[in-house]
Amino acid sequence: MSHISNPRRTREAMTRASLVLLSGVLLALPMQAFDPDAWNAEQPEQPGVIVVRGATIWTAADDVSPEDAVLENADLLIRAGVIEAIGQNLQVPSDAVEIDGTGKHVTPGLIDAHSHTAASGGLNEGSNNVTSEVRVADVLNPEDVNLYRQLAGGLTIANVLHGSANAIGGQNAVIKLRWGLEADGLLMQEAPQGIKFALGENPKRSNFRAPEPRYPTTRQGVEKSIREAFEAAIDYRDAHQAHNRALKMGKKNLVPPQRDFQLEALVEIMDGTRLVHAHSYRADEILMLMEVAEDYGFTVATFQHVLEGYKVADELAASGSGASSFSDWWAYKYEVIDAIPHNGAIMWDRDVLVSFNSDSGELARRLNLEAAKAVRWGGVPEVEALKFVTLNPAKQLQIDKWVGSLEPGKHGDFVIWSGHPLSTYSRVEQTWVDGRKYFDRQTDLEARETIAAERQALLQEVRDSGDERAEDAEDTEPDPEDVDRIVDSYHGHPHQESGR
Amino acid sequence: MQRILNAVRSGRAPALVAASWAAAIVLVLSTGPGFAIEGPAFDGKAHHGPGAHALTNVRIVQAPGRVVDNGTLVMRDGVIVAVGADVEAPSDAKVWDLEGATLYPGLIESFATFEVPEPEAGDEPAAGLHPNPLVRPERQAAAHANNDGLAKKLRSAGFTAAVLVPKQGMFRGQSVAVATGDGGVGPNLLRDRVAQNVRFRTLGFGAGYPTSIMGAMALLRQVTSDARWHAAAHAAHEADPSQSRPVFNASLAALGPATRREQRVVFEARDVDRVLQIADLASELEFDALVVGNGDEYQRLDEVAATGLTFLLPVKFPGAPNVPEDDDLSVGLGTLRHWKQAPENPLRLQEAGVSFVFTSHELNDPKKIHEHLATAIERGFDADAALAALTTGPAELFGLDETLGTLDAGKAAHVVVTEGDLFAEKTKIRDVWVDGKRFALKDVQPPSVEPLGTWEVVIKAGGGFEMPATVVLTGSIDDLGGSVDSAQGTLPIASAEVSGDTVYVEVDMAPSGTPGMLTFEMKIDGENTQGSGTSPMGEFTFTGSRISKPEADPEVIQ
Repeated sequence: MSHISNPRRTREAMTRASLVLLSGVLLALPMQAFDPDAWNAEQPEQPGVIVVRGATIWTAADDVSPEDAVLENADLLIRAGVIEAIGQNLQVPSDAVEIDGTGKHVTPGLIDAHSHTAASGGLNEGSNNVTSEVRVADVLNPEDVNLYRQLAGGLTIANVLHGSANAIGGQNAVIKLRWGLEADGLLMQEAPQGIKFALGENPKRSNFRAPEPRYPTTRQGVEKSIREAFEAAIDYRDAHQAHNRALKMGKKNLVPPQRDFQLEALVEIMDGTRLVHAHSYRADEILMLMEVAEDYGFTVATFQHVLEGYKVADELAASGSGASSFSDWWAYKYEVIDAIPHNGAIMWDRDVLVSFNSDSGELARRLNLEAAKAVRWGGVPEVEALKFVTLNPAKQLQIDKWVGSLEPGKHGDFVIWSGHPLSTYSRVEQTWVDGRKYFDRQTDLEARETIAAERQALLQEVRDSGDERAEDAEDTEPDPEDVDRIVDSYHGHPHQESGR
Repeated sequence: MQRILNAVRSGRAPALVAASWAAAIVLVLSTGPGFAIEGPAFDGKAHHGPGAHALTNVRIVQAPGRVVDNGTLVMRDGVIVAVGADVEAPSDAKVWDLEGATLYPGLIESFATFEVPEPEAGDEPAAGLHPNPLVRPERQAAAHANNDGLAKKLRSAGFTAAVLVPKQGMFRGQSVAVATGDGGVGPNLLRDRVAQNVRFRTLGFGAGYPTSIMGAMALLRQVTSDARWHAAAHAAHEADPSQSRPVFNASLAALGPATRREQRVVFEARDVDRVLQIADLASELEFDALVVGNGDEYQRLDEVAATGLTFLLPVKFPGAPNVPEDDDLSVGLGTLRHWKQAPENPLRLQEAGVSFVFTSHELNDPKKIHEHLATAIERGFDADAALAALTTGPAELFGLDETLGTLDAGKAAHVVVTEGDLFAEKTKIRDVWVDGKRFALKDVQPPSVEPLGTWEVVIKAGGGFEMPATVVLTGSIDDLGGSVDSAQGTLPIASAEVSGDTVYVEVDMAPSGTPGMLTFEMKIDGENTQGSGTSPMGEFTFTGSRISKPEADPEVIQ
């Protein structure tokens, strides 16, 4: 059976591997999913049936009574990667993978509604103020080790967004953290398409030095540039519709209108098939974008950051827009001067759909503690606070039909914790995506020895090699156009990194 | 004689007054045996044949896996006419006894980039071109590829043909396949418009679009769509001119063949994940794509194999990382693994069924490819497969296999002469023949003579032709310059290098009206010299002596 039900065999395999390594021969065995290089990781197998027995299960489901929200001594049953049942004494076939959940807590996989993990080659297409044609999905980097580190913190889904340099930025990608697969394998195919908008200091380039100022440089200019873009998109849609009508009427040899990927994405927003995630801070600009959205017939899916959301909580709730906020960040630039840590709690209290996000490859490793801050600042009930990083971001990304809570029919994305999921003392023991175990703390700890041994063997081999090419490091031409490295250096810039 | 009459008719009579050296040699050589001048005139210049040569008493690798242990190869006027164990040298051929040497088919470089001249800063983009300066699909390598320096560099590594690719831009333009002989594209063109070339480029913030790789990919998508629209719009307007005329754009029009899969698109990838992104894009945009790999394809072997793409595979293996005695974790495990595993990349790709040819792209010195391939062979890659990936493979890939790739009668005389195996840590290439013209590769030794001064020589060629000339060598022994003065005037020396007792001189003949290089070797013995060389018109020898030395610096005398 699998290494899941037979950890001894895995250990044996690793001991064997260590011996092979120490004897100076490079590891030729297939690597496991915990490997620090994604390219060596194999996709974990998907057992036919998995059952976690006797755990404390946080379903994060809506519309359940408080006593049913956290089930004690319960079983979780996954079949073919999909949740089949949650209950007690669930029957499973004899070859099912059984996991002893005694003393453990189980939650849905965590979801980060604002991430830049695995984006490569520049987070911002910073040339123009409207760049709705660019797609994060084109440049996903499956080698980003943050994917693995975040799995180790219980994260299973991330909304990978364009940066906030532009009023209308690029198209985002909702990914599952399937560490080891290539870029296409990360994409969550069920997720609707989306796009990044940004308001305030970043799109008006307040805190950035550029050789040339770029339109717009004011908040009114930001609004105007968004409206101009939608007006252009309406003309574009009309031209294509007129052309299609003429074709239907049997006209031949018509010069067709040109396809424009930038405007096409904006038409999709107006059609309601592309979700807008809008970087925003101040109450006035939040209200402004709501009006713009109303004028062009759509609802903003999420206001991101939305640190003055507490001032316009009722308007947010009425509009149906979600709020994806930081837990407790403030005072990192002027436009966040009114930020308060109670923002999430206040908005939740006024019926806004609230999530907490990371906007950080590092913070995304402990999103459960971000959720816990909603309890600390404002007293959101624990069950509801957990939804800030599970069901609520799922709803905001419109993927709650498949993920976000532990309910029959949803994906087998779940986390086994050593204790209470909102406790700083708890650790992730296992993280499962699609009924496949992508992280196992025990395996990881054991693998560190194997990896250290491999490292030492390779280091020694380098020292012993007398490799003449070492002295001739300039064998290969330095690449003056190595744009990725240049662009990635922007990540070192604190503003660029976060897009906050 | 016909040549001179042509020159007179074409108004080039003044050239006659100078009685150009080249023309003089043409005249004389045409009467001698083995220097038949034939072929059509081009721009009033002669198309020369380099005569008959027999390379004999030599091991001949005719093609990967097809070896004659001791045989003869005969070429005439740039074409192989016979090759085999029992072939006799014709009586009019110059015989080269190459005992101990091995002949290989000339190698083909699949991807050699070079800088094409950019418009002057401040120039407006030409009307009718794409406004983004990174989008230059209309750029023709052939129009800019008169690059004898690049040809020489490639030749020194055994490449007798190369696909030349404009280096700049994102849509970089269309490549050209050339032989690596001297004289620029004219005499060397093998196939034009070989492929369109794409590399994802960005500009700095504030410098234009795109600033990100995702922007570059969006630009690729938009430009490709625009090119298809351009073709459809113009076709529609032609069918029914009673509607608004669509805009014409030469850049979009130039992409037409690529969008119709009539021309390949070669994408350059910086790592294996980019390879997979490119595979997605090429499939979405319906391009007939080739990919220049990066050497890390083994890291995602199954996915790479599943793309079905053919690779132009750089053979570059990383040097050993600089490892401190006390491991401070400054060298990542990924770096160590790649150092260990990269030399097996070709082997693993081959085992996975991925098709590829090799390229020296990204190697500082293309000669390094032999050393790297020797390593790959040591690690299990088949030597015949390595040769195929530099000869028959690229010849077939680029439709050059009727004339290139093997040493067979009827093919162009592209031959590499080595001492020992071609793929070795210190490969010794003795000569490279391009279209029947021999290029001797020299081994640079420390100078043992003082060559500076003015040398008067008498040049001799076939048929008793003689002509005086003066060679002036100036500068210093490390940095030689000067000029060659003859009946056709004074031409500056392009390069002069001393090795042992011999000076190797190159002179660009173009200013005299004859494209191509004059190269000769001056062996110096005290105040006397003798040597041999080739001009665009043929081979010659010379003897002479020094008539003056540079004046000694008076300050040094005091």
